[in-house]
Amino acid sequence: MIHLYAFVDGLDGLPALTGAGGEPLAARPLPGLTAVVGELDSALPATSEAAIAHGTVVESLCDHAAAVLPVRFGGSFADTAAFHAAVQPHVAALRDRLTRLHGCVEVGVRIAVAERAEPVPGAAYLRRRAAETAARAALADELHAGVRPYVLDRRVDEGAPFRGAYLVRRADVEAFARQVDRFARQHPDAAVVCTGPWAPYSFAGRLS
Amino acid sequence: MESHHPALRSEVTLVELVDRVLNKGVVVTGDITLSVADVDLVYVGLRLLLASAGTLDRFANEAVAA
Repeated sequence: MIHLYAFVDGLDGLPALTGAGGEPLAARPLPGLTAVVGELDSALPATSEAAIAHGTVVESLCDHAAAVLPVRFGGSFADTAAFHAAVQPHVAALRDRLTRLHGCVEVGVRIAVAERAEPVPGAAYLRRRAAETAARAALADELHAGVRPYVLDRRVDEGAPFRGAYLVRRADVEAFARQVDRFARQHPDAAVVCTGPWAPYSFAGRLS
Repeated sequence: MESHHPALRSEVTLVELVDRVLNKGVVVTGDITLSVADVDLVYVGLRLLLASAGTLDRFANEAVAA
């Protein structure tokens, strides 16, 4: 079985890690990009440990490549022929995405605001929910105004908790994080957590 | 990076990683080899992680109470 971790560009060497199944990592050249894979005797177990190990390999590739396009956990190929049959039709699209992600990482922001729990009658409850939704949207607008100079793209879920993923140039990560710190200090009633830098999972896109 | 609470941060980081690995990232093949039962197993693990991230909400409540 071939387990696929990521497509990369400008790979300067494989990380000193084994794969999610304890296998050695391997670089498979494709036209204009490289696939990072592991060869296993059987499919990976579908456990959160294996998923975390997959993610650890992808993250460490960010220190060894100019661009990383992460692959979702869970897919594998029976052999090299099956791998090439699946990947070959998409090589041009994968190369385009890698070009777009050059020098970029993803930063995550989560915001949780305590919601009032005491019971109120139906109409008042609905008004309160509407007010909480509006307050979350206002918080998001304020966050986005502050980080705008550093954000190339974003994927946002304004639910509770608010979750945002931001595509940022590697050189701008510190400035982005400082801006989120400033935002957090201005909102002591909210729990703000900034995570990353991550490989740009949220900007990998779908293959048609 | 934001560092209100180091233990909270590492838990949230793990949830964020698993969420990305399972739900984001490019999908190249239609041959997802995980059986339904296996996927459930992964999601049971994910729910455990999310449950521990419930501390995020507790932390928010404490911040309001302070």
